[in-house]
Parts: sequence; structure tokens; C-alpha cells
Amino acid sequence: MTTPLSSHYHLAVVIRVFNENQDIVQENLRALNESLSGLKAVDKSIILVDDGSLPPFEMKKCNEIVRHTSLWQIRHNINLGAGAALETGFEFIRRHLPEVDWVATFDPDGQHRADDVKTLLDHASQKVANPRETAFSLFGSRFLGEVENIDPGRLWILRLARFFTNAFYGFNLTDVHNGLRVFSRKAIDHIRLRSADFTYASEMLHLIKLHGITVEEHPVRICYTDYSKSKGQKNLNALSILKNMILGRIIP
Amino acid sequence: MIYRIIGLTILFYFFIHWIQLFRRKRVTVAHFLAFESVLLSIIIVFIFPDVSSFFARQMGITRGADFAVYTLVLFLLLLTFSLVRSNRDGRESLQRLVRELAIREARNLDKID
Repeated sequence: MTTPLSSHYHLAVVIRVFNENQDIVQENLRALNESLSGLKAVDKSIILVDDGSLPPFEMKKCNEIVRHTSLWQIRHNINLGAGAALETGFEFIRRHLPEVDWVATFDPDGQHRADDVKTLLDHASQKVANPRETAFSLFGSRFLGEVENIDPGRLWILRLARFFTNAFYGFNLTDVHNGLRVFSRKAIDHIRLRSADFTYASEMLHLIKLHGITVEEHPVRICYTDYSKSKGQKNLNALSILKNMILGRIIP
Repeated sequence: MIYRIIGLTILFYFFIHWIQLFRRKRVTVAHFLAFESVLLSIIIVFIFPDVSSFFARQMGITRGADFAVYTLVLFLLLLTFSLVRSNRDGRESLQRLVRELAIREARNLDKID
């Protein structure tokens, strides 16, 4: 594969917000925009999917963010879940942003480092010359990289989730529930999520397997803050995800 | 005897309730026939318990009660399957509707002063 870093391409970042602290989201979007500004040959779009926040999420200082980036806001009238919000972002890209070559997903609660999006995109674009022709996905992995301030309970849940998901779908991934991912355009055309909740991460792997999409991992740093811990999925949700995975296999 | 009377009362209630649902066009013909056949079979077994023993012997099962339990388990599995599917279909329809509205009303914040 060739290295197309000198060529021009378009990146869209899909971000789900649900009852978020506006200042924290603003700060993370600013960091993301600054980080991506370093990529001179890249056009950028940020698609902010408000998953039924009450009151609705409003960007206060969007001019700072949109200086070099096209910023879209999409709002679900009711809360559907993380999977449904991502699919809304993907569907919007499929329908209205035909120019997009790469799609990244990013959590705005401070867990993800903005620089890692750039690193993942660099790595993916080195691997794939034409993202419109090659179905490729690159997952961030906290277990290949670093993880800070994680609760021991959450660590065990993630390990169990990794074991079950790899066993269910025949992968050998180190981090299956990391929201930091990059997909080629061709991969996004295939990944049509039906799961509304966090089961989407497992369904995504099922679709990746089904459509023969290449999947690789790259080290990233995840930093749990008090805010992200309060916002993230609860450990007990793991049981619901496992139940949905089993039901999905028995009753497709 | 009391158990049989209570059971038959409940079964007849559901039998009549389904006829009313069908008359009000709340259920399809296939759904109505399937449900009423099951209810009618259970009513017959309640009135003539030996019938289940007869069917049990035909199926190679020793006792009529076992035959009734196996049939019930199969019926409940089918019911669960159908409920899970219809529940999922409903949720997915809602998801598609909310998504469609959201995409139609998408705002490009570059163009907002």
C-alpha cells in the first residue's frame, strides 16, 4: 500500500452528546479542532449528534470551532442510545457528505485524547491508499496504549467483554469497547447499525466480519475523569449487553 | 375439580376475548386461528384429560401430563421468539423515524451567525 499523506482527503468526526456539560464538550472540540488543524491536506467535518439531551445541547461558541471545520448538529427528539446516535451520524454522511473519505468516532467527555484521532488517521491513511475502494477500520486500544484512573471493576468488565466478544465473533482484539475508531468510507457504507444501545460495539464487529472489513488496532490513551466516569456506561450494563448479544445470535 | 373449573373459566374468557378481538379486526385471521386452536386444544385436554394421554402415546411419550408440558414449552418458546422479534421491529421503526426527522432538521453551524 502507498502512503497518501500528501494527497487530499476529507475526514468526518462523529460525536455523540447526551446531557453533556457544555464547557467540557466545548473544550474537547476545541482540542480536537486544533489537533486536526495540523493536518494541512485534510478537509474536516464534525457531526455532533445530540441524542435527545434535555435541555437540548446548544453550541455556545461554535465560531471558534468552525474556523477550519464544517460543523453539523443533528438532534434526536428522544434519547435512543449510543449505537443509534452513531448510526445517525453515519447515515448523515452516507446521504449528505459524499466527499467524506474517512470517518472517526470520538467521545467528547474527556476520556479520549484529541491527538489520538490524528494518530489513528495517520496510521489508517498509511495503510489504505483509497478509502473509497478499501473497507478498513482501525480501532483504538487502551490495552495496547495507556489507561489512567480506571476502576478495577471496570477493568474486569472490559476484560470479560473482550473475552466474550472475541469468542462470539472470532476476533482477537485487545479492546472491543473503545469508542475511538476510524473507518474508511467503504467500511461506513457497509456498517449499518441496528442496535440502539451499547450493544452496537459487538454488532459492529459482527458486521465487520460479515462484510470482510479489515480491522486493526492501534495504541491510544484513555483517561477516566470524574466527569467521564459519571457519564459513561455503568458496569451493570455489561449484563444487558451480554443478554442482547446472546439474543441477537439466537433470534437474528 | 376446583382447579379444573377455575382453569376452564380463564380459558373460556380468553377464547371469547380473542373472538371479540377478531371481530374488531385487531388481529389477523392467521393469528386468530393459531391462538384459538391452541386455546381449544387446552380446553379439550382440561375437559377430557385422557386425550392428552392418547396423543402422548402417539408421540412416544409415556404420560399425558408430560405431553402437555412439552407442548406448552414449545408454544412459549414460539411466543417468546415472536415477542422478541416484534419488540425489536417496533424499536427499530422508532429509531428510523427519529433518525429521519433528525437528519432532515440537521443544522450546519458554519452558516449560523
